[in-house]
Amino acid sequence: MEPIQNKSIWNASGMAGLIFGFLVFLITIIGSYITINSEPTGSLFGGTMIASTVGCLVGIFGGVMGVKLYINQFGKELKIGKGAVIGLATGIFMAIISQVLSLLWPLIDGSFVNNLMEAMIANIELMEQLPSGQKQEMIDATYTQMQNYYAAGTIIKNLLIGVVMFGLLNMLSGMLAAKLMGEAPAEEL
Amino acid sequence: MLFMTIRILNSPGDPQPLWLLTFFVTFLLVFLIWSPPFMYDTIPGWYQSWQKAFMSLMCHQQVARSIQIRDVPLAACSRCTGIFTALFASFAVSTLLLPIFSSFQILVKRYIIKIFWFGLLINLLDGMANLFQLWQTSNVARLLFGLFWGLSLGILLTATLHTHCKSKKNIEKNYGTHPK
Repeated sequence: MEPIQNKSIWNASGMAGLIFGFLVFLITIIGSYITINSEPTGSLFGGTMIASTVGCLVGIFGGVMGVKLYINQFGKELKIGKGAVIGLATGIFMAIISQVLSLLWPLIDGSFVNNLMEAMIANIELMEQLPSGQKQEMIDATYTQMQNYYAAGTIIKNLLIGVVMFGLLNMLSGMLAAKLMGEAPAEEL
Repeated sequence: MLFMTIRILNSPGDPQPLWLLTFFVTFLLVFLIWSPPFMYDTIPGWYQSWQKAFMSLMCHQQVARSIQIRDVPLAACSRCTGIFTALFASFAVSTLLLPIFSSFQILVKRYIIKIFWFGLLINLLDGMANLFQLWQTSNVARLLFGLFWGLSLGILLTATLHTHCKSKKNIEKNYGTHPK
């Protein structure tokens, strides 16, 4: 009689979450420094926004990697539902890890938050298409947002957004990965 | 047709919770993208909106590259708007047309992955060219490129979720007469 193998998803999704959480953080932080070190252009399309996009494109492959690690560990046989769960767990780990690293980074570079805020405000000030009242409203919003970088409400909000978006997107990518890389168990055929 | 679709979706082999979840996620993305112009009157309102905060994890949200309704941009750029709108629409429509769709499983299997990669390649190339200012496509072109890729992605998701409906013969065997 074969021993019952406990096919836990936590190793695969934890490892994929750790790697991709770090990658997302790395891309975001590089984008932030691009914004800080660039001349203001008056466009909202700064390094931070480029980083968000690239970070997400990288981020949605977390679920794929989670499924790949699971397959390496336990073989190709898995249902697409399991792929979805692996993707979801990977996305949640990713959001937590990237959020924790983002909170730790200003401890390494003490002027990071302030420099980023100044660069973002300088960009808004140069936006020509906006009336000055609206411009001021956006500057105030940016100022408040950056001043509350360590506020519990901001941390919880950012974590929630990351968990929902990365979790759901990686659930879809994990499902597709399970379909493309795995094989349906015999009872599904 | 609708009756057969419901029967297929209710069959024991199909992953109904996953189907509902996928439907919910794709609908949520469309709602997040399209709702700001109907909830905010100005760009600062959009800038502080929760829809923008959610979509900022996956889109650059540049105002000039976004479709605007009543002078308020959508929560995603025109390319992402195309991708996610087509993703929801094609997933919903191909699921609704499941009895017919299932007859074309072999064709879908053969071509949809190629179309998916082709669409991704077009969008990556155009996105990179725009980013490095090799050329600038209009918002309508970006929307169309996005729609093309999103369409294949939605069909791929349907094909992923309804794997056991492999052929017309299988449909007839499991669910009765196939619609003419």
